[in-house]
Amino acid sequence: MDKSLLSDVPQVAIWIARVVVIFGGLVTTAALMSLAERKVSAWMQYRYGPNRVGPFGLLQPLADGLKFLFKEELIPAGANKLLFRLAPAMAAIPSMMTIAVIPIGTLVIDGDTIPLSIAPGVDLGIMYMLALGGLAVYGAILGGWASNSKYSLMGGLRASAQMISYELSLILSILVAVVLSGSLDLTKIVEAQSHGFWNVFTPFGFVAFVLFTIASFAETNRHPFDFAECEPELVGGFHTEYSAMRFALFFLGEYCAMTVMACLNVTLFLGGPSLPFLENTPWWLGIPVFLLKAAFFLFLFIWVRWTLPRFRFDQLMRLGWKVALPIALANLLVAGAWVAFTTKGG
Amino acid sequence: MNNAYLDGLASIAPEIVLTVTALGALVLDLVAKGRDSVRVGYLTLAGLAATAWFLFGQWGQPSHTAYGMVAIDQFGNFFKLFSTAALAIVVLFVMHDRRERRHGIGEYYFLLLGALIGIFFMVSTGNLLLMVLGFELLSLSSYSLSGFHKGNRKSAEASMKYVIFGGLSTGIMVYGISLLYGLTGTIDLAKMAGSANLVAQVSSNPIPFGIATVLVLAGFAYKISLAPFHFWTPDVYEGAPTPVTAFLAVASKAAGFGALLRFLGALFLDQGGTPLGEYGTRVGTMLALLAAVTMTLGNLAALRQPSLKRMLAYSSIAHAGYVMIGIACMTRGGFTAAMYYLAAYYFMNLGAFGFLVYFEGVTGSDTVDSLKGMGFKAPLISMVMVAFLVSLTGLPPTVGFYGKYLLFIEGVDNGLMWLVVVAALNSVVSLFYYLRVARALFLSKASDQEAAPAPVLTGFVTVLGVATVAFGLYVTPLQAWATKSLDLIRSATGS
Amino acid sequence: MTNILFYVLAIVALLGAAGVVLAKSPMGSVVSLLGTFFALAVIYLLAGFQFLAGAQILVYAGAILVLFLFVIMLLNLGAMGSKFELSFAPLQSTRARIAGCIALALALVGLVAAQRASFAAVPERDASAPAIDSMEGLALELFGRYSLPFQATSLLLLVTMVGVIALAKRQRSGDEPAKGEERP
Repeated sequence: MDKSLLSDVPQVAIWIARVVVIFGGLVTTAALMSLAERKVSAWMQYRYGPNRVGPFGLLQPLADGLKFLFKEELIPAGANKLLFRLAPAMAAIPSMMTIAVIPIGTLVIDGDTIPLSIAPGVDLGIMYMLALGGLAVYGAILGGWASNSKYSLMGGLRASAQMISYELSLILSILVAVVLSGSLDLTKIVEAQSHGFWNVFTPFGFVAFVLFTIASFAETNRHPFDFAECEPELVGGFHTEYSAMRFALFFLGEYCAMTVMACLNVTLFLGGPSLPFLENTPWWLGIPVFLLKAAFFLFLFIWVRWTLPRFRFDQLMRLGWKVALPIALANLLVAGAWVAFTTKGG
Repeated sequence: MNNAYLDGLASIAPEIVLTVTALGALVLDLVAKGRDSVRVGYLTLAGLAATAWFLFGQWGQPSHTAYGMVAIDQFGNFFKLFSTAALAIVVLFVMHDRRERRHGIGEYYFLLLGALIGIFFMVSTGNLLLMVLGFELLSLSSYSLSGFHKGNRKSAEASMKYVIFGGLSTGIMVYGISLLYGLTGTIDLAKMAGSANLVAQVSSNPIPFGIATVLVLAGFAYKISLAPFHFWTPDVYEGAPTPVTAFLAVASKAAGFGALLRFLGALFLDQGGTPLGEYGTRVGTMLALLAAVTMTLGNLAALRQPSLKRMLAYSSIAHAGYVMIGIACMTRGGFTAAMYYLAAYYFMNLGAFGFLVYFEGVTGSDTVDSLKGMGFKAPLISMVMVAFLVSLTGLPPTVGFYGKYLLFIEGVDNGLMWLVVVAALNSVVSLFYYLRVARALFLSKASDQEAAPAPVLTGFVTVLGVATVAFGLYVTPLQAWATKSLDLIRSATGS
Repeated sequence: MTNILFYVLAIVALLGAAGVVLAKSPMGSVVSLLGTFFALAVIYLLAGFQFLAGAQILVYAGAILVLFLFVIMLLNLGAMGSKFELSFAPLQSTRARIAGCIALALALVGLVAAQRASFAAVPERDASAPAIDSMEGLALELFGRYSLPFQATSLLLLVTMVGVIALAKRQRSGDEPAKGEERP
C-alpha cells in the first residue's frame, strides 16, 4: 500500500484534532441552540427574533457570552460559597464529557479511516454515558441548596425527584437498544444498524424510542417537564440566585445535555450515521446525515417547548412511575424474549 | 451448561415453591376484596405444606445444585423442616392474633415467607456468598416485620435498633469473609478447609486467620444473640409483634445456629491432629467462654423482668448459651447434642410464645402480673404452659430435660466440666423466673377478667405441649434424626 | 504510577469517609460521601474493573446519593448552618471515646493481620473463558455460575422493597391504631 496522506501525522495530533473538533462542535451547537431557541420561538409566534448582531442575528450568542462575562457576579448572603461556586461546573462538565463516546461517523482520508469520536469503541460506552449523565443532576441540586433561597431549594428538590424518576425509564429504553444490538459499545450499536435496519423499525425498538425521547425531555429539564426552573412558580428555579458567567454555565450545561441526548437518540435508535434501507451508506454522507438527524431532535426540543403547555408536577410523577416505567419494563422483557428466542446458540 | 443449571433447579423446588407462594400472597392480598388475614394465611399454609412435601421428597438423597452452591442434605433438611413447621405455626398465630387482623397483611405473610427463604439458603449452602445473601434476606425481612405495628413506639424502636445492629454486624461479618477469601482464594467452605495456604498460615502465623474467624463469628453471634452481641434482643423481641417475636426467637435463631454449625463443621470438624483441627479446639474454648457469659447474663437479666415477653427474650439468650455448650465441644457428639437441643427449643419456645399470643389477646398486656389467676380461667392452655416452662428449665419428663442432659454429657466428655457446672447453676437460677409465671397462673388470686376461649390457638399450643412431653419421654427418634442429619454436614463440597 | 495513584485515592476515600462522620451539616456529609464514592470508583478502574466502576458511579453517586440529598433537603436544615465545618462534638463523650478506641484497636489488629498474612494466589481460572474484568466475562459468570446468588439478590431487593413500602405506607382508616398516632 502506498504511503498514505496521514502516515506522517502523529497519532496524538489526530487525537487532539478529534477532541477539538468534537468539543468545539458541541459548544458551538450549544451556543447556536440559544439562538435557535429564540429564532424558532419568534418564528412560531410570528415575530422576528434577534436580528441585529451579525447577519440574521447569527452573532447573537457571541454577544450574549460577552455580556455574561462582563456582568457583576453576586453570591447571596448565607449561601454556601464553595458549593455555590462548584455547582455550575458540576452541571456543565458531565454533560459535556458524555459526548466523548458518541460515534458521529467516520472520515476516510486517503484510505485511512478515522472515527469521528473522541473515544471510539469503549467497551462500556453506554455505562460511561449513564454514569456521567446521572451526575449532571448534582449541579441543579447543589446549586439549589447552596443558594439558600426557597425558590432555588424547590427547584433543586424537583430536579432530583424528576431525574431519579425518569432515569429508570431512560435506562430501560436504552437497554432495549443494547439488547437488540448486543453490545454496550456505541460503535457496535451503530454497526449493528448500519445495514439499513434501524432499531426503531422493530416494534419494541419503536416503543423504546418514544420512551427515550420522553425521558430525555425530563432528564434535560426541558419543557413540558421543566419544573426545576419553571418561571411562574419558582422565578428561575435552582438558578434563581445565579448571575453572570455561572448562570451562563448552567445554560451551557443544559444545551450540551440536550445536544448529547439528541445524538444518543440518533445513535441508539436511528442508526447513527446511516441511511435507512441502504445496505451501505457512503462515508461522506454519514456525518451530514448524523448531524441532520441530531438537528431534528434539537428542533424537536424547541418545537415542543413552544407548543405544549407545562405538566403539573404530580402529573409528571404519575407519568414517570405509573405509565412510562411499567411500559419500559414490559418492553424490555418482550425485546429480551424476542432476542433470546430468535438467536440460537448465543 | 444452561440445561445443567435448569435441571438442577428441580432440587431447589422448596425454595421455588416458597417464592411463588410469597408472590401469590402479595398478589392475593392486592386483588382480593374485603382483605383479611385469614385467606392469605390459608394460601401461605398451603405453600408451606407444599414446601414440606418437596422437602420430604428430598429425604436421604444428598446432592448439590447450582454449581455446588446449594447442598441438598440431611443437615439442611433438618433445619428447613423445623423452620417450615415453625413458620406454619407462626402463621397460625398471626391468623388468630386479633391485633394482626388488619389491612396490609399480605406484606406480613410475604415478609415471613421471604425470611424463610433466607433461612433455607443460609442452612443449605457451603458458599459464603449465598450464606450472606440468605442471612440478609432473613435480616431485612425481620427488620421490617419487627416494625410492623406502626402506631407503636416500641415496635418502631425495635425495628430501628435491629437495623442498626444488624447492619453493623453484617458489615463486620462480610469483612471477616473478605479476609478469609484473601487467605484461601475461595468463598466455598469445603475448599477453604482444604486450602494449602490456609493450613500453612495457621501453623506458621495464626493471627490473621484468627481475626477473620472472630469477625465472621461476630456476625453469627449477632444472629443467635450471643453475648456480647445480644443487646438488641430484648428490645426487638419486646417491640416486635408477638408472632414475629416467636419467629425471631425460634426460626431465625435456629437458622443462625444452622449456618454457624455448617461454618464451623466445614472448617474444623473431623480435623483432629491437623493444625486446623487444633485451631478449632481453641475456637471452641473461646466459644465456651462466650457460652458461659451468655447464659449467665441471660438468666440473671430474666430474673427481674416484669414483662413475660421480655423475660422470654432473655431466656432465649440464655438458651443460646446452652446450645453453645455443644458447639464449643467441636465434636460430632457435641454438634448432635446442639441440634437436638435446637429441636427441643423449637417445641417449647414456640409453645410459650403461643401462650403469650393467647394471653395478650385476652389481657392486652404482656406482664407477668396480668396473668394472675388466669390459670383457672383458661386451665388447659395454662397447664400446657407449665409444661413448656418445665421444659425450658430443663426438668424431666420433657424434651428440654433430655436436650440439656445430652449437652451436659457431651460437655463433660470433652473437658468442659466447668462450663457444665456453670450451666447447671444457671438452670437453677432460671427455675426462679420460670416458676414465677407458673405461680402467677395458679397460685395467685384470680382477677375478675374473663378469658375468651380460643379453641384453635389452644389446640395447637396443646399439640406442641404434647410433643414437648412426648419427645421427652421417648427420645430415640429425635436423637436418631439429629445424629443422622449431622452425617452429611460435609457433603457441601462441589465445584 | 498506579501505586501512587492508588495511595492518593485511598487517602481521598478515607478523608471523605471521615468527613461523612465529622461534617456539621448533613449536606457536608453527603458531599464527602460523594468524594469517597468517586475515589472508590477510580480505584476499581485502576484494578481493571470498568463495569464495577461504572456501576459505582451510576448507582451510588447517581441514584442513591441523589435520594439522600432529596431527603436531606426536605429536613429542616436552618439550624445546621450552610458552611462546611467539621464538628468534633460527636467525639467528645466518653462513650464515643471508648468506641473510638475499640475501633482503632480493631483497625490496628486488622493492619497487623494484613501485614502478617500471606494471601492466597487467586485460583487459576479456565483460560478460555474471558476474565471477569471484561463485560462478557462478567456476564458469563454472573448469569452462569452465580445465577442463583444473582436471583437471590433480586429476591432480597424485592423483600426489602416490600418491607420498606409496608413500613412507610400510610395506614388506611379502619386500621387498629388510631390515625393520630401513626408517627414512626
